[in-house]
Amino acid sequence: MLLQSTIMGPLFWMLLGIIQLAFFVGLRLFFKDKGLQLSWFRWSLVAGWWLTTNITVAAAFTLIGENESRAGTYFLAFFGIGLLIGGAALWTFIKKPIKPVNK
Amino acid sequence: MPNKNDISRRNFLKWGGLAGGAVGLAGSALAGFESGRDTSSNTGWEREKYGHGQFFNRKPFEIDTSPHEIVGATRRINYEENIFNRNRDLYQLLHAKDETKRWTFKNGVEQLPEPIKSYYTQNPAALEEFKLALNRAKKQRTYWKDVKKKYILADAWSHAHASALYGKHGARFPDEPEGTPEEWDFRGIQHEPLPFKSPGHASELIKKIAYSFGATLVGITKLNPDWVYQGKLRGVGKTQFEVPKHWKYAIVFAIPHEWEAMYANPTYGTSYDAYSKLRWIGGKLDAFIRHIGYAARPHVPPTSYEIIIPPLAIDAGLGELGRNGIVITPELGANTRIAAITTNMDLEPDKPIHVGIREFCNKCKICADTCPSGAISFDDKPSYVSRGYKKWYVNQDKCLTVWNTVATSHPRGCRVCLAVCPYSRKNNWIHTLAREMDPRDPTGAVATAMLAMQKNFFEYPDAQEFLPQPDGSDATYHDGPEWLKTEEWCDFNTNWE
Repeated sequence: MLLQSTIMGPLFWMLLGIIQLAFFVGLRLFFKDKGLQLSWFRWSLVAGWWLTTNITVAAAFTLIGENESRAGTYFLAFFGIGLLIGGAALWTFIKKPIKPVNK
Repeated sequence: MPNKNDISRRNFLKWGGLAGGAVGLAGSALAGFESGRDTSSNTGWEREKYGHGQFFNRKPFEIDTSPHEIVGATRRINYEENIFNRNRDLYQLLHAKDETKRWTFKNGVEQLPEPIKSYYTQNPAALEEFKLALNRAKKQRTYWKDVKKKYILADAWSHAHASALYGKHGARFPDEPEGTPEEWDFRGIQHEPLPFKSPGHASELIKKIAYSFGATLVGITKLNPDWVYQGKLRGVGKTQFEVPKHWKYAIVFAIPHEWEAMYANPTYGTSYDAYSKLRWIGGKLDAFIRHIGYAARPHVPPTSYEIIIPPLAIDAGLGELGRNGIVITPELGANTRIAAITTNMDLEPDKPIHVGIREFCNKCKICADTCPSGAISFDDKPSYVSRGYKKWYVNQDKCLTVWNTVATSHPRGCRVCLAVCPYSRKNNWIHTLAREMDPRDPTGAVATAMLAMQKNFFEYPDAQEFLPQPDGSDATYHDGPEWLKTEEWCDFNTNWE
């Protein structure tokens, strides 16, 4: 088991942290190139969606790992569809320009 | 001047980072998969010392009221009301060496000795069911020859555990009592009882000692006399007796079955693995307590009891009673096997808990749906009154018939209801999250969502499938562990029998 290994376990989590950080750096540049400006609120929604996606994938594969393949697949399909719909709605939302605040 | 096709550092960061998102997602999948596979999340078998990572904080869920629903005059359980006691008596009569004492079904209930005569007169269906069980046992022995090659490793594994229970050469531990409890429970005590700073100190120490002997959960309660059998006392014989005064407190301890085998009930699992370990823990705790000057008496499986342990475990705050008649604990679910020590030590009792298991059982009914004997009640709420206490009805006689039916070498249990219980899940992050959230949710929405997922996402064989062919398909709840699969290790191209 990779994650139970004394050496590989901690290295895995460090590497995963770095990769996730790199993802957000890349995402920031991607949004910038698309001409999107994200407020802290929109960033929170994006981060929340990404976290939920990761948790959903991890949960589904946890079930698959414990020999509940059908439960894992159904879980991923059920919540995955919800996440895709939510992701599309989020993309539509963040593409909308931020309204200037009237002072 | 840089070529416009060259990858700039910015683009590298952008596309590399986005690609990293996919890798990160794969990493989450891998972490989840390994968490699911991890054997240290098999309940009760965690790598941490004494399973600290598995303990559920009971404090917020302690109650000051009785965890039992009392609906009338309560009383102790009679000897013959225990299925193993009455069946053993009946079996001995059916196989008596002295023909004049032998009883056959043709003789009728009238010729049975008391107290089983009265019992079967009032419960004729129980006698019919026992007759059916004996017939099934004959078929089971024949059927075993057909499936022996497939299940011989599981049978050997079960036999190895059972050998610690039924030592034929004095190897049985702990010893069976000889003489009255006033003699036996105090035997070997050589000095005054060790003075503890307080009952709390005594309780804490006893729990630590029990953990060191291998217990997963330990609780302490005052002994409610209603949980003490009437009619037979080990070491004395069949007799009416008062509850001994020195049985003041009960130390109740629990362990789970080996997880992978339990999940492949009824055929790969065995009751004996947990039973033998409970006897080992109980025997050692008994010796420890007497060595520090207090009386002790272990009540351990399979039949060395004067006490019904499940209600005692509920009083001690280990869990709640499930629809399947088993104590369900937050840590181990229905995969909880229990034993107890009665003692005169002054201890600080634990409080019973309410974590919503009963409410969940009201709605769930998965154990009733999948029970191959149809023994478990489908009632929406507990409605059966047993000796003044309301609970769900479980037809023990029907349950035993299936023990005599499934593809094992002899009747050694079914335990499908332990395995299919939604509380009997691994101690990994998703199930622990559910375990922690459900009792804290006053709306019941978490339980409803969890139950909906259990019923729609998870796979359960039909009850009938657990039975042998042609009625069923020898199904097990999950696939057997590879270390018990004969086909993984053995070459049967020889004349092995």
